[in-house]
Amino acid sequence: MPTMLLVTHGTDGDVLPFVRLGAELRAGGHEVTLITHAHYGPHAGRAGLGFVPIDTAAEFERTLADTPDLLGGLGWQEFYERNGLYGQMELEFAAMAARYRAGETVLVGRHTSALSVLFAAEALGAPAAWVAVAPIQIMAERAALHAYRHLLWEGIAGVRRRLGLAPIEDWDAWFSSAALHLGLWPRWFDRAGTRSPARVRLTGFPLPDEGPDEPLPPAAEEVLSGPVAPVLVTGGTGRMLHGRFYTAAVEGARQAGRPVLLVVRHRDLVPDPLPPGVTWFPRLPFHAVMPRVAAVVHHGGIGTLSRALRAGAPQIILAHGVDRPDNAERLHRHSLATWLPAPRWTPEEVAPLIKSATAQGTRPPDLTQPDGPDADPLATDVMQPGTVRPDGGPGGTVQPDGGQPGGEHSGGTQTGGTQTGGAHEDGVRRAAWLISSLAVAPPDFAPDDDAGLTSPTGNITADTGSEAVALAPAGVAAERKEGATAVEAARRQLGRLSAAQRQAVAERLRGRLSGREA
Amino acid sequence: MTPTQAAVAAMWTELLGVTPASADDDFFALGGQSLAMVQFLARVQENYGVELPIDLLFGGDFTVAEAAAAIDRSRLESADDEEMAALLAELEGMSDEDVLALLAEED
Repeated sequence: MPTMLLVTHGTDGDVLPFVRLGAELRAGGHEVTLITHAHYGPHAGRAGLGFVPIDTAAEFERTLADTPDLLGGLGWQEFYERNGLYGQMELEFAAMAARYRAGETVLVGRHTSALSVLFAAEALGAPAAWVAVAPIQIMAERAALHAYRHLLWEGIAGVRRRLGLAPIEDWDAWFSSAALHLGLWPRWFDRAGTRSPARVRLTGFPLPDEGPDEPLPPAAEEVLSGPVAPVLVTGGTGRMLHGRFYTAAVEGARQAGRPVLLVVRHRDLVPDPLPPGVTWFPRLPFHAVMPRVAAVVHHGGIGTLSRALRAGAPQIILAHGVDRPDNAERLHRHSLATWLPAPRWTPEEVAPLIKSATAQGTRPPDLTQPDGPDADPLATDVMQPGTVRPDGGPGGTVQPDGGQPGGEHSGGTQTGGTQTGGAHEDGVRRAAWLISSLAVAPPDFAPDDDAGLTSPTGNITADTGSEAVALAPAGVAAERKEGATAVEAARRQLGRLSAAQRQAVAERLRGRLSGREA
Repeated sequence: MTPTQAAVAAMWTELLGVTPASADDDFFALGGQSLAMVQFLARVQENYGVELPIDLLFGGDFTVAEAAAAIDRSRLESADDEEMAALLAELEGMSDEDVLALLAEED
């Protein structure tokens, strides 16, 4: 039986998709072990996954308590050292090595942070997948690599030495060495901002993972069935928040005249004293709560925003740090949320956004517009054979129920022949299918090498940014060649100029470029 | 501010929620963080077609003026064939005196 070893770090938005992924892989007949924070042991247990904690509950809390300082200027180097993250890498590596079975093991890690998965893949010769949960992780690849290479290299070198691995020589190749790169968001979300490169397979958002039977606390039911629909305020399950987040969100909701359901895992982050009309819960089953609130005011975390999308709840995002402003901006481009950066978190700005969102009903207004996400904004708009979206917008070919005819799945490498469409198909299921394919692939299988070239369907990989190349008529190649010749001639002529002349030319060209902008 | 500086200031205003008061205002002092800088670099790439060096992110301070200069520099380095050809045509027609005069302007 193939064995899947999953490594992730962070809070609910980073870990719950891996719990779901593990459950899907297990349902597909794989043996699965989740290697992550001790806090998520019970989640793994409920999903029937093997579990290896990489820390203790106390250590996890200490690390979380350190994260606000990352927003305030704490260096990554000190963060890694203070929290024993190099030791954690070794522990993760050891857990994978102990469970490894030649030819039957696939390693799956959270993009950027799961270096141990790359190390283990290298040492064991096992295929690896790196899974990103938000687009900024892909956007920040260059920055992350720079940080590893120039700030954290000493710690990394130490880990590799102790694991018996040679020093990294080609950092770029090493950083992109996973056989499969997945992005757990839909294509319309990707296209609403900086697009991911073609090698990243987009799967759609994960569906919420809470058990449908998790009861709603009576106190929450009371607020939800009151005369005025409440606003849900949450900053997610971490602590990496701006110090004013909760007071700004709560004050804005109160000034908008709404009762507040405040969901915060950490008691000390809750405004004290709690203002009237505000009820605090350490957690709530969002799938039951979100469809019933007037709006959700949140931090912009990927898990929270995708749940709110699924529930059709209007979103007001107070976005500060990490992936949040980028996530918020992407939703805003589709009129699915409004957002404010931290300097503008005043009640005067927050309250009107809430009022205007709640005045428009319980669904964001643009859901029905042709260029807005369709009835199911979570539906992945995987390119189907013969269906090209002229506007590049979301939802164009998605059926009203969010599903696609099953037959359309048969040829696409992206969707997989075993999948059936439907409103409840989710990104994690697609991700599981793509990861499973690594378990049966020949040893030298490289899934992205010929994607879009040999696929008869013109699948999604040919579409994320490279369509101009793929669709270029033959004449373009000739033009390009001519262009190259002109550049060579130009370079030869420039080579004959003195340094001072080149400087003058450069300044003139710069002047011309600036003039054109004006 | 130069046109590039004004464009940088506008991008920072959008990303950070505060408008830089001068070209000497620093990205990090205005509340920017590393991933906001990543967003900024991505926008520069979209708007100008140039990839700024990533060590800008780790330099510690980064002003509007420095950002604009980095953009201008990168654009220059990646000037396309058409720009290059126009520039060269211009150079061909220049006398030594013109070139000297041009250099004098730079001082």
